[in-house]
Formats: sequence, C-alpha cells, structure tokens
Amino acid sequence: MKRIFPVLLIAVIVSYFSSCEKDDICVEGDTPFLVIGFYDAASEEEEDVFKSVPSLRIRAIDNDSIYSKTTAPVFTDRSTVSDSVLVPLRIDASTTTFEFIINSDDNDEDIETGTIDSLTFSYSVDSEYISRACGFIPNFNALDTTRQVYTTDWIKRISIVNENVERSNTIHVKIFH
Amino acid sequence: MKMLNDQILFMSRYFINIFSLLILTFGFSQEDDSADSQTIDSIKYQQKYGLRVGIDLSRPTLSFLIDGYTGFEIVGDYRLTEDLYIAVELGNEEKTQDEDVEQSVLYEYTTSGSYIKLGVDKNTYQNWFGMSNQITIGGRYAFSSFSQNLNNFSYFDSNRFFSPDGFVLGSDESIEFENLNASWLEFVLGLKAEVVSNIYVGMSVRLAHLLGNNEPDNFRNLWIPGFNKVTDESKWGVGFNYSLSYFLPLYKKAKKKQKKPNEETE
Repeated sequence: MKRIFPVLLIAVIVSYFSSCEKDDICVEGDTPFLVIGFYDAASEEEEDVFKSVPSLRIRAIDNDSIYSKTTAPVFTDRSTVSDSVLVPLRIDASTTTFEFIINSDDNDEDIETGTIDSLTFSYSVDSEYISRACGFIPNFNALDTTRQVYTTDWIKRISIVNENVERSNTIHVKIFH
Repeated sequence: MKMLNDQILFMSRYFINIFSLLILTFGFSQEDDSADSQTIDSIKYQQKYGLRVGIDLSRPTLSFLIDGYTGFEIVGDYRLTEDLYIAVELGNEEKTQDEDVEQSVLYEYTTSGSYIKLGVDKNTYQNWFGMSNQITIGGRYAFSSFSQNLNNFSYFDSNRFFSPDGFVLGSDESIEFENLNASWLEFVLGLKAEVVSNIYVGMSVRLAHLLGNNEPDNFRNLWIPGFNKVTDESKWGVGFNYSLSYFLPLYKKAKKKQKKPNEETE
C-alpha cells in the first residue's frame, strides 16, 4: 500500500491541474483611447498649463453621434473638462473626425450655440496580441491631425506629443486654447 | 466550439476519475502479496521480454467525435529489466479552436504538428504468478514541431461607440506562423493490463512541464500537439491516452530470486 501512495498523489495533482480554467475573462488589455489634453494657449510658463473647457460636447462625424460614456473612462456630454478627455478612434478606418464644441448649448430652436472646431485624426492600425482571453487589440500609430482653420476657432494650436496610441493613458494630443 | 472543449474537459475528468478508482482497486488487491510470495518462491518462472507496440485509441475517437480535431499516436515500449521499460510515443495532431467573448468569436486558430516523447516507465505493480500487468511511473522528454494558422481575428474592444454590433474584424485572411517548436518533461502514470495473451490495453495520465517554447511574434502557442492547452500563467499541461498494444516476445529470462519472507520489508 505504501507504494500506491505516490501514485495516488500524482492522480490527485493531475486532476487538480486539469481543472485550472482561469484565463477565460479578458482583464489584461483593451482597445486604447486617444487622450487629449487641454492647455492654456496664452500661458507664458515654461511648462504647459491645463486650461479647462466649459461645457464640452464631442460629436463624431463618422457615425453622427454625440460621444458620451457612462463606464470608465467616463465622459458626460456638455460637462466641463478640467484637463483631459479620452475619446475612441475608429478601428475599421484610418481616420476619425470629431467636432469639439466649447460652451455647447442649444437655443430655443435647438440650434447649437457653442463654438465648433472640427478635427480629423489619421493613423495606422496595427494589431497587438495581448492574451488568450483578450486576443488582439489595435494600436494606433503614426498619429497625425488636420483641421480646417477659421477665425472663429476656439482651438489656437495643436501639438502631437505621442504619435503611438497604445496601452497607456498618457496624453497624446495637446490642444491649446 | 466552447461546448466541445467543455466536453473534452469533462471527458478527461471522467477518465481521471475512473483511473483513480482503478488504482485504488489495484492497491487493495495488492495487499495479498506477502502471503503469496512464499509459494511462488520455489518455482522458476520465465518472464517474457520484448517489444510492445500499439496505438492510442482516444485520439482517433476524439477525431471522430470532435469537429476540428484530428490526431493519432503510436505507442511503444521495450522491456529492459524486470521492471524497467524504455517507452516512446509518436504522434500527430491538428486542432482548430477559437476564443470567444459572449458568443462572438474573437479569433480562430489551427495548430498542427508532430511530437515525440521518449523516456522510461518503471513498473511498481507486483504481479501474481503468471500475470504481467503493470502500474507504471515514468518520465518522458518530449519535443513537438508544429505550425499555427491564425484563421481570423477581431479586435477586442469593450467600447461600442463606433461598432455597436460587435467587434471589428481585424483580418479573415489566414496568417501562418511556421517552424514553431516546444519541449517539455512529462510525468507519466500508467496502467497496462494483458487482456488476451500478448494483447494489452492501457491508459496513462500525464503531467507535463514546459521547458522550451519557441513562440511566434505577436501571437502565442496556445495549444501544442502532444502537450495540449498552454495556459497564460503556468507552464503545466495535462494529457492522457488509452492504448491498445501488441507485445512481441523476443526472449525469456528467469525472474530474479524472491527475497525470503522474513527479509520482506513491505
């Protein structure tokens, strides 16, 4: 019987290992967001200073929808953004166009009274394998931005500080206003 | 596909349970040993030595039952000494699987390749006179050479703003990852019973530990032929087989003289 003991022990170990089914839920990664920081264009400081955006509305042109998100990262439509905002990019296209509306509000005829500035982000989509449960996520690389410039624009200047939108929540685009 | 995986998992658990039950019965029947050894003592019994070759029955069965799986395995061993065997398994497997999130497929991949497992088995079972059954403990060094095809993939994205209907397709063109290989050590627990003269049925369970794993760029070896599922956070794998084999006797040799009963320690 003594000889059987290690055999039994191994049988128990084997059945223990075969019941390990941990990696079924994706927690390791997700499609990254574009992080836009709002800075003061008039500041003379050496380092860029955040400047809040009152009543910001973000409208995506591609699907003609107003962006808001109730789960993290939360964005409430027409809220005041104190420093930065996270917006999604289209994976199935290499450009995404947003209208950023400052002081957004409607008048009596439901017409937007805020100042509208339209921004197009262009990028390349590369895939990154994360884990068994998550599979692949996109990385948006070679980020660039173009915009129509009008005198009424609230955005004064844009600079791209990180052209690779990967798994980090550091600021990619600085908007000075 | 998920359901089928669960089925295999369920089956393997079921097998393991039967297996442990069998071991228990073998274990209990072994208690009679010491009483018998006195009577066997005086008889000179010639034991057969030779080569045993066979096939694994579980892999062809699973090939038949499960969509997207084909496999076979040839098993063999050669008796070196009274209780030591050189053992080998050679196999080829192909499996198509997918990972999905809430019923939508995230990616599908096909792994195919061959493997060789080489090692020893030590019989720990003391047979009654004239019988040659085995409970073996053994080890293997295994090597697998394989390729992976990523048949399609979609991007994981928990945000549904731009894609309200589901994940965005990344590619449905097959991406091939070739020249992959892996090596591992296996701990084998086996059971073989002679059902008809020289015909054996056997089963084994295996606990494997990955040594080397040559992984592709921007993908992972999620399943390795001969090793089975590779989990993200551990290097352990499990496997089993059911063999039907034929023993080819080459020569006979007398069993070593039994110890005298009063020297018996067990």
